[in-house]
Amino acid sequence: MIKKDLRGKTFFFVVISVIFISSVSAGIGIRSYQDSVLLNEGEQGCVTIGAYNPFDTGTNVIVGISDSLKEVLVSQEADSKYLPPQTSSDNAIPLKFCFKVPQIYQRDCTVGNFVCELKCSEEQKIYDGDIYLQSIPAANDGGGIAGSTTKMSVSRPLKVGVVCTPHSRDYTLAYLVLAVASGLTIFFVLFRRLRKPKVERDKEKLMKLKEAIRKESSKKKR
Amino acid sequence: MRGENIILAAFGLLFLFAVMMLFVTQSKITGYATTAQTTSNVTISVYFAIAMSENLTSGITFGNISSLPFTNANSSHNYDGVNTTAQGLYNNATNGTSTWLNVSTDSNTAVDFCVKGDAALTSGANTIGIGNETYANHTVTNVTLPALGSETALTLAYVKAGPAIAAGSSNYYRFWLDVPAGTASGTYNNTLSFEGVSTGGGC
Repeated sequence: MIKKDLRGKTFFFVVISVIFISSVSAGIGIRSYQDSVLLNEGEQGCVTIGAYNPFDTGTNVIVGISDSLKEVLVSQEADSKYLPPQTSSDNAIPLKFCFKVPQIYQRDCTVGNFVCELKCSEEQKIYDGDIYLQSIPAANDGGGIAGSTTKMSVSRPLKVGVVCTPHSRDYTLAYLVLAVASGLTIFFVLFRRLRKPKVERDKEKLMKLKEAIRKESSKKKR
Repeated sequence: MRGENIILAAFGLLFLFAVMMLFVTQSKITGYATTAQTTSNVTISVYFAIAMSENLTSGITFGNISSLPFTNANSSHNYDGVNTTAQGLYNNATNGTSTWLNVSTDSNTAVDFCVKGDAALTSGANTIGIGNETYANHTVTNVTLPALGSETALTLAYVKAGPAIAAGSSNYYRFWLDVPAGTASGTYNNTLSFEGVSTGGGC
C-alpha cells in the first residue's frame, strides 16, 4: 500500500517536471568576464560578455547598455545574435559590444574649440550602468483583446572609467593653418609671376636694365 | 617686382617657421608629468540564465471586457497551470498560474527579477493607466498563490519583483487589470519587461 502510494507520488512528480520542462520557452543566459573598463577620451573600447541558452528552444537576443551609460558611450555596434538551444555556460558565445568614449573633460581653449589645454583638475569620471542581453519580443495576438507583450533580459553591472590625460596648450592646428596660408601665398605670387609669357618677362627685365643704365649714366654726368 | 620678392621672402620664412614648429610640437613631450596608481583585481565570472514560460512569452491577455468599470480582470493564464503545491484535497490540480520565470540550473548565482511596463495600455489616443495593471508573484503556485491580496501596481521603471530565486527554481506570476468607467472601447496594448539580475544587484 505504501509502495503504491510512493509510486503514485513519483509518477506525479515526473509528470509535473515533464510538463514544466516542455512548457519552458527560449531562455537567455549571461556570463560576465569583466565588470569595469578604463578608457581614454576618444578611444574605442569593447566589452565582451558571454551569451548562452541552456533551454530547449533557440532565441534571438540583442546586446545593449543602460541609459546611464549612453551619455558616455557613443557609436555602439551591436547586432542581434541567435543563441542556439542547449548552450551551456561553459560554451557561452562571446558577444563583443564596442563603443567610443567622447570628450568629456572641460578644456581651456583659446580659439573656439582649438588651441586647447587640459589640466585634469576634475576628478576622474566613472559611469555606472548595466550591459544587458534582451530577447526580441513575440508579437501579441491582439484581435480586440487588451494585453501586454512581454520581453525579458538579463543584465550585469558595468563601470566605465574615463582616464583624463593632461596636456599643455596644443598649437598644432595654428601652425598648420599658418603653414598652409603662407604656402598658398608663395604659390600664388610665384604662379602670377611665371604665368606671364617669356617675351613679356624679358621685356620687363630689359626695362629694368634700361632704367639702371639711365640712372648710372645720369650719375656719371653729374 | 622688388615688393613681390619681399613678400615671397617673408612668407617663405613664415612657412619654414610653421613647418619647423609642427615638427617640434609633434616630437616634444607636451603633457604634464603625471603619476597614477592602479589596483589589480580579478573578476570571478558570474553567470545565470532565465526563461519565460510559453504562456508568458506569448503575452498577457485579459480577454474581452464588456461591462465597465471592471476590477481585477484576470489574465487568461492566471489559473490554467499545474499546481506546484498540494492544497487541501487538490493534490494534482491545475489551477495554478502558467505564467512564470525560471532560473536555469546552469547558473552560479540566485537571480532577482525586476519588472516594468514601457507605457500605459494604449489604444490610439486612449489609455488605461499603467497602475491599473497589477501583478503578484510567488515561488510556488496553486489556486490561491500568487495571491490577489498581495498585488502590486506596475510602474514605468524597473522594480524588484521576485527576489533571490535560486538556480533551478521558478517565480510564478498572476496579472490583473482594472478598467475604469468611461474607458473608450478599443484594443489596449503595451509591453512588459522582465529583467534578471544577480541577486543583490540593482534593477
